[in-house]
Amino acid sequence: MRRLGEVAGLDFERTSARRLADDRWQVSGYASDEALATLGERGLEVEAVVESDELAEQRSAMFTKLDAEHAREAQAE
Amino acid sequence: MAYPATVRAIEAELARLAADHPDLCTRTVAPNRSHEGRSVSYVTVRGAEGGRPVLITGGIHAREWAPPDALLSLLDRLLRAYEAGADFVIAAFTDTAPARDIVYAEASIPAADVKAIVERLDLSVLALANPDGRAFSQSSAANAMWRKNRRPAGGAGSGAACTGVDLNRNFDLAWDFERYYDDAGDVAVSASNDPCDFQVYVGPSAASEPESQNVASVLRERRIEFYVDVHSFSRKILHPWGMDDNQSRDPTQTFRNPAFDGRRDGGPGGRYGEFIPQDVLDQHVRIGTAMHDAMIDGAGSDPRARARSEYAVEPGLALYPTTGTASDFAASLQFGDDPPAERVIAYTLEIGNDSDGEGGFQPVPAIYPKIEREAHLALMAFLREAAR
Repeated sequence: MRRLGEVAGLDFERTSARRLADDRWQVSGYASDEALATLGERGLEVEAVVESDELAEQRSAMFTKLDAEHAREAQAE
Repeated sequence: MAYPATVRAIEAELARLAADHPDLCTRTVAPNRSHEGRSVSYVTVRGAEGGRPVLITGGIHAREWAPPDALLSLLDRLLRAYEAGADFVIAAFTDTAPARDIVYAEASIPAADVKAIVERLDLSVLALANPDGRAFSQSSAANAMWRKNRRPAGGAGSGAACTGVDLNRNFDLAWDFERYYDDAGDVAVSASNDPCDFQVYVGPSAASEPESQNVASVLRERRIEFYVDVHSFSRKILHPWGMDDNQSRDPTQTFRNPAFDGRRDGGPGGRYGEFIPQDVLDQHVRIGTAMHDAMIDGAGSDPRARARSEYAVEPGLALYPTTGTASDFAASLQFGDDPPAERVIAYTLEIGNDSDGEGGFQPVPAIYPKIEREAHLALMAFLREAAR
């Protein structure tokens, strides 16, 4: 698990770690396609919670809103 | 204030709260500016003199967007409820994401509890501890996952990841983890001396960062007795300790005892366990359970809503140890002797989840009210207990 922090493109939340009934550990995070490939090569099981297209769409919507707010703040300055 | 709030919007909201409630609220600018020159401020709510000192912090990790917003709306609702002599009401929420129709019931905290919280506590809320990090995280989608502050990269490396320190590894408790643990603990600990570590670089020295110094100064100078550091995500209420497993038998096994340096294993079931008096541990579990119960009860009768409001109450140590965290540091102050401190009850509250459409570090606005209500229910329960 410690080595997960060394996987480029993987951002996981340490406190999400939980022990499963079969004594394996599960942890959640965000992973690029490259990071997913690395995890697979290490023999780790990966379950997609949100697909990358959906996540990109969500982020795009939030950043559109944030960019507009930043522009409004800059104008008001 | 619309979620997710910008750094400027958060500062403006803190100023507005203090201006709108001058008899109850004081806004204080923390002593240290961030590396990029931003000020950090907090609001203290004081309905009467001599209240028990309480601190709630948020935004230590840049990418966790929900906690600062939820703390500001908590303050707003608390102050308005108190001034109106009314209940603190949390509106019902329906999860309308596709294939769901899950109703979270309206919940209310009685006016008598609101009154007790405002009049018996000296409540400080530092909603955004790491403004530089949040500004960077909100600057573009490519930077959204930024976690650390924005300490300029030093000589060790010039890559983008070599900027910044993980503030929640920088507090002065077991900070020097290589000295603190044995070899196995060193390997296991969630901390790094590598400035280019994207996640958990501990910084060049203990409490080196202006942002962690700000939090530590409030904890020390206001002699905080009840503390919650709000993060996301994982639906957990974490209590001490995070740096080793708990034991209440041997008071010599403590972070203060250098005889154990290099001999602590940092894991569950090893030969070393971090001492915590049984009554202190029991109080943490009892109040943590009250926070848990408040979220479940507040969800209402829909079993799906209740299941999705289920938070685990557990020690910070899970799979591996952590050092230099804000909440463990706060708890450690009660074992100091310079001068002896009051008992300190301290938590890390991890709001939200990655699954169930909750968005992990950055919930989408449609689901944010669900995360916000959980924060409010848990924190109001915590404050009610602190006000007893």
